[in-house]
Amino acid sequence: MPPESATPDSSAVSSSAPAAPLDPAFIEVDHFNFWYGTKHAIQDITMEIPERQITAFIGPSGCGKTTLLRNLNRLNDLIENIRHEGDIRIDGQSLYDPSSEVISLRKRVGMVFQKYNPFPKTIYENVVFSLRVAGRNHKAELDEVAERSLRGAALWDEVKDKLHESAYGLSGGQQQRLCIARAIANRPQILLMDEPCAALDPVATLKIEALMTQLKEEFTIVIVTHNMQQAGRVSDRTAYFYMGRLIEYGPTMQLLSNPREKATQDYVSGRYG
Amino acid sequence: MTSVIGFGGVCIVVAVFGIFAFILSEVFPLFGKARLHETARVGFPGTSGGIIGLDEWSQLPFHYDGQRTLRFQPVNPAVNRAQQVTLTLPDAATVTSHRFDAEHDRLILGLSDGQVAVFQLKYTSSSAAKGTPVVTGTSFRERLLPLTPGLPVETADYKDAGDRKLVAAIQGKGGDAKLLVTALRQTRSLMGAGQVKMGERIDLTAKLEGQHPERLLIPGSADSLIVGTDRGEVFYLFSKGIGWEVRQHFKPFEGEGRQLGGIDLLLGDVSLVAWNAEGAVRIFSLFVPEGQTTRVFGQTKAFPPLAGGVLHYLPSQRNKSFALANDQVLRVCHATTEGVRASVKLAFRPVDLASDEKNEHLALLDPAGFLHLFEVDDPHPEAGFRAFFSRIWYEGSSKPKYEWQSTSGTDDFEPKLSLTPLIIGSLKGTLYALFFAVPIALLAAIFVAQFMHPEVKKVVKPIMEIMASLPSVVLGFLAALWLAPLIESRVPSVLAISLLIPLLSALLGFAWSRLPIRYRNLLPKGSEYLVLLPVVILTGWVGWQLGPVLERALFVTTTPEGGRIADFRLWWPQVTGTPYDQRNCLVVGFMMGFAVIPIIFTISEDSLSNVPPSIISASEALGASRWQVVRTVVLPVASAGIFSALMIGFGRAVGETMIVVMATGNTAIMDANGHLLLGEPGLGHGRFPLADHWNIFNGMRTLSANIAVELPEAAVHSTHYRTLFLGAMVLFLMTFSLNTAAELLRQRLREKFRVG
Repeated sequence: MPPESATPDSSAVSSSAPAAPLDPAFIEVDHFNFWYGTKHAIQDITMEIPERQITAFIGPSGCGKTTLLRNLNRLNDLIENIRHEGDIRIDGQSLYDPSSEVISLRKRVGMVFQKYNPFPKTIYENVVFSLRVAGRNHKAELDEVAERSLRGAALWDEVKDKLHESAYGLSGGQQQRLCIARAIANRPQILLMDEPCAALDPVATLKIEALMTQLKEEFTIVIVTHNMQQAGRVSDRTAYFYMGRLIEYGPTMQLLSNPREKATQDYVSGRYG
Repeated sequence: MTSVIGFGGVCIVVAVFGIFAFILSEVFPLFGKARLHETARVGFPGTSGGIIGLDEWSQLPFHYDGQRTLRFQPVNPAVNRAQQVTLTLPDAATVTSHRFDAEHDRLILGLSDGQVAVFQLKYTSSSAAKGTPVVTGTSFRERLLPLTPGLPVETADYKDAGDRKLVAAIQGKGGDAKLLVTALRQTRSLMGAGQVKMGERIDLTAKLEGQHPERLLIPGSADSLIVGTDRGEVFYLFSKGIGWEVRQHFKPFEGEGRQLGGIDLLLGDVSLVAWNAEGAVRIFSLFVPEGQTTRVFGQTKAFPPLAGGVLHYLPSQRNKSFALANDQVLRVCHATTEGVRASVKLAFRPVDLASDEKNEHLALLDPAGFLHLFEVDDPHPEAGFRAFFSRIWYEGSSKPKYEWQSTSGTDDFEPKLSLTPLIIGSLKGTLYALFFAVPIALLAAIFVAQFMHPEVKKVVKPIMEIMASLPSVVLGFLAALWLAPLIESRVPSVLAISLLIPLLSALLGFAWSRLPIRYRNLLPKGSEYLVLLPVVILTGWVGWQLGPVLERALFVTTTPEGGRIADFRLWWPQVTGTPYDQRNCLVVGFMMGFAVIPIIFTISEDSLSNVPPSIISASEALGASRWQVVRTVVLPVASAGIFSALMIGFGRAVGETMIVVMATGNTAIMDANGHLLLGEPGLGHGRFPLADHWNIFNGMRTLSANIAVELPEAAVHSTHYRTLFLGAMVLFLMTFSLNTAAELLRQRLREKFRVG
């Protein structure tokens, strides 16, 4: 990680910054279009995602919600033959600014994946991974971050005695919470969650949901979910996507109980398909 | 389906073990001892004393009574007839000494009138009856050579080396003993061999520093004399022009106050065997000691003493074995390996000891006139753990060494069967090949798997896989005929290139990372090599051109005339003391590297590509750069696969044959003594001992190349043949043990970095 890559805008999260909490950011999606090869996966989406709230993306499979989520930290860059138009801005700074490094962007945006995916390392090393790659190796700092992050992910009490054992010894729900701890360790402003409970049982799901409610005090959270009840339980705002378009976007209560659009109505009431 | 697969698997295991068992069965006899057992007894009634000899087939032994009677007695009276020959000698003379030269079937008799009579024994064989050849023996007088008239000959020897013949004798007893020598010259013209002229009789007694001669030997070259004296010293006299000089005199059993029991030569006449009264046996070989210019005798071997002393000594006519006998035991030893091959207890005091030409039988004469015929079953006398893996002081060598030289043009040569230089050669070739291949293959695999643009990867990967199928004979051919001559004159260029390219690549990488992101973004991700490529090509070209400049500046040697020559090929031997060959390890390592790179590349690329994308995404999402992703996540997870790639590459390099055979030229390099030095480590004249073993600029021979080259010419079930199988077994064990260790380690790595 070349430390010199930090731009003035991202200096707040560069390696030299103290671990003080940061103001969560808001995200602007501005006439954004995205293609996989010839497939127009996201079609002219414009939306604002507010800070310190949980925004849920819902919609049928293939509607573009996960694609949009993965664009928020440019994780789609890994895929070949992609193209985009329009812009996405975080705190007013464009993701596609040619003078900004994708790595400094990703430090501001943590991500939790659908299938829990800890590294083949110890629990401790999983949590402090983002600090290590940022070149921060002071043991005291790492210890403090590990404890804080694991507490933040409501996992500390369960793992504090086996920090140096393999992460694969944990249950699925614990592994997913470990991934959350890992994602928040380097104090990102935004937390993206791609169906974080899809692979978990109901008990683990409730734990993660409770955790999300806590975490939104500090982070702007965007969650992709198939589960309308989940969206209803945790999110403040919900966006309904269909065929790459944003059909409806508004406060969750309103969207789920009294949608404006017929298509949304059909989907949330289960008449879709 | 499962049963078919299971059956196939079992078949493979059985086949591997079958091969191993076969190799083992070929190798096993090498480590066996010799066996001696009595097969026949032939009576020479009415004799006591005298000497005996055997024909080539051990069918018609003879007995010489010490005067004028030569008797042939058949082992199988049904096939052969007894014969008697009377030797024609001057009437007035009696025989005062006799010697049987078994190698040349010559009976050399010293007479009381001062003459030496030389008789030639001739055996003829006709068609075999029931597998036993019909043999007849006879003898005729070859020469009658007068020395000092009237003085009885106590000991005489005669050798015929073609143009040059030499007769020597000790005449007179005790304090009056005189050493006399006469050279015989035979002129040869187109009309054939001419008259033999006897040269001047030379009295060499004065050369012995007042000591009295007792024993006398003439080596087969007929140009020197070995004389044992009454004070236990050995004089080595060498003919120089028409005169003689004492080249060396020494006490074989110095300072121990022990009398010399006897001296004799070993087959080949390069080694002198000396024994004392206590039965201690030592071997002295002719070699040029370091810092000297002439060959002299030096002790090379010592054998465990034969309790009861040595009564009879007999060199084998086939190999470097010799037999010792006293009144208790008959012992067969092998000189090269310094080992006792076999011993049998004797119930009588032997009168004489003889062997046949093939070294298949030994004969002992007992005092009652019976000849005991022993069969010698020793197919591999020169083999043994010591011969294969230890340092051995070979004949003609100035010090003990590891050496491989299995065959030669002459019969009396000493096979040198050390596998050590071949093992070192194998390891050396492998090491240099991996030195070259591993960094390139691994870095390429990492780049292709994790960085390269997928479209380009689709092209690169299959091309590398095709490279793996290049026949190694083609690579070897290229190495030998194109690369070796190219590199030979441009070593400084190669050095410059191999330094400059990594250095400049690293510099470029650093500069690239310093470049503002807006310029870096101009190139699509995974295509950064487009910037590197011209730099590498340019650096290669610059390095190539820079070589001669470097050579002129750095690698300058001075000639004896005071001139200065800028030539790496001269500079290297002068500075390091190790040789420089055209076809050297650099070439082999380079070409073998080419054979190994695709294998390591393909397998490690596969395992790198198979790292689950989920954890790559996860680490990217946590702000890791692509290189950090590779280092912290991809490499550990793929480590087991990379490790097996390295092991398979190692296996390929160790077993690789054709490239090594061709690219080392497999040349036999001669040293000053005319010995073949095949990848011989520790030549001894190197300034740095290690540089000798691992010198990158000399040739080598590997175990596999050795088998490929020599097996077609090795006689089936000969020692040479079985030793080649031993080489195969060493190779097998090397790869087997390494692969087993590697597999265990790989399993642990896989367990440690298993995902999920």
